[in-house]
Amino acid sequence: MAAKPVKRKRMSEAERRASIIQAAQEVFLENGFSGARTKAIAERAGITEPFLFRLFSSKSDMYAAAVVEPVVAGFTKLAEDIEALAATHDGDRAAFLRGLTELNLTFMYDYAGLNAVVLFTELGNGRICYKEMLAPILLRIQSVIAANISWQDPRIDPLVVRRALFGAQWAIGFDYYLRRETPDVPALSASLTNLFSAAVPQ
Amino acid sequence: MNMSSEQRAPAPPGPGGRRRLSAVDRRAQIIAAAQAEFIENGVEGGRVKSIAQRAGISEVFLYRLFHSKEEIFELAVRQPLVEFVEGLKAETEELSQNPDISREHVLTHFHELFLDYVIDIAPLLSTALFSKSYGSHEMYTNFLLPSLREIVRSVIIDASRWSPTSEELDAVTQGLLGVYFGIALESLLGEDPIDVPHVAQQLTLIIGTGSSDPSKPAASPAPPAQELEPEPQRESAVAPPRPRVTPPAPAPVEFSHVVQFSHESV
Repeated sequence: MAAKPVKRKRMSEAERRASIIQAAQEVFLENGFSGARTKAIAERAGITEPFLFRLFSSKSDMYAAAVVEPVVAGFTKLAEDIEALAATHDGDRAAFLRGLTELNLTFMYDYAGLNAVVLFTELGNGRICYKEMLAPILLRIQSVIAANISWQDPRIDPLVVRRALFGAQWAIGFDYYLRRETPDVPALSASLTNLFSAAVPQ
Repeated sequence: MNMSSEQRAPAPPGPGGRRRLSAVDRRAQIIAAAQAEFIENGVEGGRVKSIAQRAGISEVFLYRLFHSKEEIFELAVRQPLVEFVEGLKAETEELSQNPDISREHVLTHFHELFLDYVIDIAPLLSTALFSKSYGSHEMYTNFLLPSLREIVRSVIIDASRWSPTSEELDAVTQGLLGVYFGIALESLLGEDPIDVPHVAQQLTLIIGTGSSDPSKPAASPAPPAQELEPEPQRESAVAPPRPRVTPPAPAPVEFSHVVQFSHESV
């Protein structure tokens, strides 16, 4: 994409940062971390590379602001939404599972590209982010699931449940993202809830 | 292909022993190097020069054995994915044709088999899925998912006597692939080894596939691990030796020990 002419002088520093973050996010989504070039980010933002480096000290810095931070914020928001859902489902476990599936599917679809860049395109960076930033949030979600779906069968392991649910929701959200189609979240959630509902008392 | 100078008798692998490798061994070594390179840097980011370096040869020499990056991709990524599907299909067919085992056993075996295969292929599968090159997405949509849908239909659906609509079958297939793939990827990211028999058994408890009697748990009571049939020796020519993270045959365990709430590990 060709650089667009910009009104460089008119933007405040905060606006400039936001526009660079937007440009950097697009470039990282297209190329991953190693493949992304700061020159391309500068061009996309309509500024020079030296000017870019006055606002961000390194490519890692841009990656943290444009990719890692939004992903961590997204996961945090998801955990908060799941906790809010748990506070309102009135003991209807199937409704909780369906609501949980809808929240997760929406998140997995909305964040499909960013999640893929952070977690899957490069194993080394992905491991650091997963272990240091996402693991505590996932554990928080796991506790909510364990507390709100009380299984008849005491052998069921909430860790496996949480991972299985996230895996299924992620695969479907990501598939719709790749095909550039919008998922019918309620219908898909009903199918997925059916898939996982055997363990939940009716 | 210009391989004549490399066609020598196989010799024991030696460090950097370029002349000692047969053309076949050399090609296999380059493919393994390419897989490592693609997994680490993606298909777009992976460079032929780095593949040559990983294999300990020059780029020029590599191009005597392979014509292009696409040809390497074909052999290093696409071919293993085809073999993954074919191997899984053959083994699940065998499973579904055995009339003597219960539905719970079929499901647990299916989960174990599928999970095992996905653990092996997960790094290459994610490499292919997240790549925009060489028709990776089309391969997923037009080959991988339809093949897996047939596998899911033949085993899971038969075992549960459920007649899903085609949309439901799609969702279940993708959902199941996601379950195995997600579990494998979290293990890869968290460097947290998977106890495959344990997880397979858990999945039998968790996943119901629209049982005709929804009030009845799909697999209750689930068979204890030690009653499962011994793991069949896999000698499929297509599957590479699969490095198992956990010992394949765990000692008999009490269920109270099977359930481990490993909160520390996410």
